[in-house]
Amino acid sequence: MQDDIKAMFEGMFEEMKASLRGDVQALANYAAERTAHLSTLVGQAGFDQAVIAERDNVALRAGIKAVAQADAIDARRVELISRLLAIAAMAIAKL
Amino acid sequence: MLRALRSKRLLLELIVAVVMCALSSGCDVGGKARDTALWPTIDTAWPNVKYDAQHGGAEAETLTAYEIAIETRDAQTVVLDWPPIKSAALTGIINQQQAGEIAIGVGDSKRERVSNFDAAVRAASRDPQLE
Repeated sequence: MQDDIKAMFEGMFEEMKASLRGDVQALANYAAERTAHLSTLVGQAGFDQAVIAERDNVALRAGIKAVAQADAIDARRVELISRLLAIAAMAIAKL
Repeated sequence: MLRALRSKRLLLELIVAVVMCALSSGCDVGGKARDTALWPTIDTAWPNVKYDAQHGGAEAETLTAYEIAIETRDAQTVVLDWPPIKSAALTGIINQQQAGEIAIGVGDSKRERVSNFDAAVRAASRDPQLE
């Protein structure tokens, strides 16, 4: 039973780590893409507004990713509960 | 045998503790992310989106009501009242371009912000029908 629980937690942590790494990379790529776009606008009308817009873009994207990750963690939490309850039920049955 | 029973009992207690924690609202990671990461970015971007919407003919009353909804974290109103403001913001960007206030590329940056704001207000709501 201990091994089942250990394997369950390890699997979930590995999944979460991979997912977080992917999101951080995607956000870094997005920031680089927006910076590249901004660099093409230097000297054009409203450049200062573009700087603010791109700052907002990266911040909003980060907030959206954070929520998506957090919702995924919550979903895993529900999965964890059901698996733990199943393990507990088996343990009780064996008592 | 007594030892085995005790070990199983400890494990069951641990499982119950984890389940209780997982069921408690303190473990609501999504809610915390919305409060600490998403809403503050909506707060920051809103005045700039509002500026574009004003240039697109959005009514002052509509924008004030929307601002209050953001301030009070009324996710449902923020999602439901967003579409006409979004349209006004996009129209406002075109108007600013046509007036020569901003270059086309700057308009692209602003349109990208409207798109991200759109995704953010949807993410602020947990209702799948609103998302």
